[in-house]
Amino acid sequence: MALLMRLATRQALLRHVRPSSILMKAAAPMATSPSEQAKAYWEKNKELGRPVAPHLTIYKIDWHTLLSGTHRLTGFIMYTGLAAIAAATLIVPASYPAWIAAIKTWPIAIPAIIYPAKVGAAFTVFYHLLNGIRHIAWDFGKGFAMKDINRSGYVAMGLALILAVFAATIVPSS
Amino acid sequence: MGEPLTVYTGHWKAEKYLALGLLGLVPTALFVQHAAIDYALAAAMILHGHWGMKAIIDDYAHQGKKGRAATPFWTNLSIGVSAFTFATLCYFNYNDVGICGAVRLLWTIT
Ligand code: HEM
Repeated sequence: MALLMRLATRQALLRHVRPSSILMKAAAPMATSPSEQAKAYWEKNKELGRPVAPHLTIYKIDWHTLLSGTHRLTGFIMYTGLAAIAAATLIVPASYPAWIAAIKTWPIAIPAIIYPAKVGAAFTVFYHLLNGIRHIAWDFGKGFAMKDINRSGYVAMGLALILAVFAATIVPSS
Repeated sequence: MGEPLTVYTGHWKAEKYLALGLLGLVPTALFVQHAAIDYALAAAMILHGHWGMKAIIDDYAHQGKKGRAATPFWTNLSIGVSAFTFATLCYFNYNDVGICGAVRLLWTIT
């Protein structure tokens, strides 16, 4: 959550910084070729010791890298989690309902621990599923406009968080 | 290199349609409990996860100059883990509460 807030504020900051970056470009002395122009621009930036524009792109990419990295991480967690649970069922050869009954007696089986754990588990599945829809759409050649990429990313992350918080509140009857 | 390109496009398509199948299967499993869904989940999750893990280990454990695929150690390990997990999930579906039942029971812990 803190990470999300930080990302959100960075986005907001972006809006204020961008105009000045245009000014910086305009202030660079004219040169004959684009590469010379760029060189002059960077030299002037260095001289003045002012922060440079590429930071902005780093912030922007950060969010997309986070989304993509989270897809890989959630897929990896589900796969290794399944393998680990499968191994555990052989190492601890009690029936699964007996496991659950035992876990319910553990001192850490309190809502303050179980609820966040459920939110995390549900988020892992929902995020991978929703972001998977984006991947499948891209694979069919759809949704590549930057506007769509941004919007669908926010929707996948937002909806996954909402669904996870909601799913964790559901308690099956038996 | 010698293989026709269709081998790769065929596999690529299989991966995508399998992901699409999972996309239908997983939400269904949240609402419908059935032995057929348990077995379909075991097969689809493991195959999809196995191909996904292949992409991951090809990225991080590739053979460098010798090729872009993962080293034999990681390739064999991933095949072993996938086969083992699939077999265990089938055993679990047959002898215990099954995948859907397991998630449901897990969620009764509060
Ligand atoms: C719920 C339905 C699911 C959908 C729609 C889905 C979709 C996808 C898609 C489209 C990709 C490819 C991403 C790319 O092209 O880079 C992918 C990757 C992956 N998925 Fe899933 N998936 C689902 C469930 C699962 C499950 C249950 C597991 C675990 C067993 C899993 C494990 C993985 C892994 C390990 C990768 C590779 C990640 C990577 O290469 O970065 N997925 N998934």
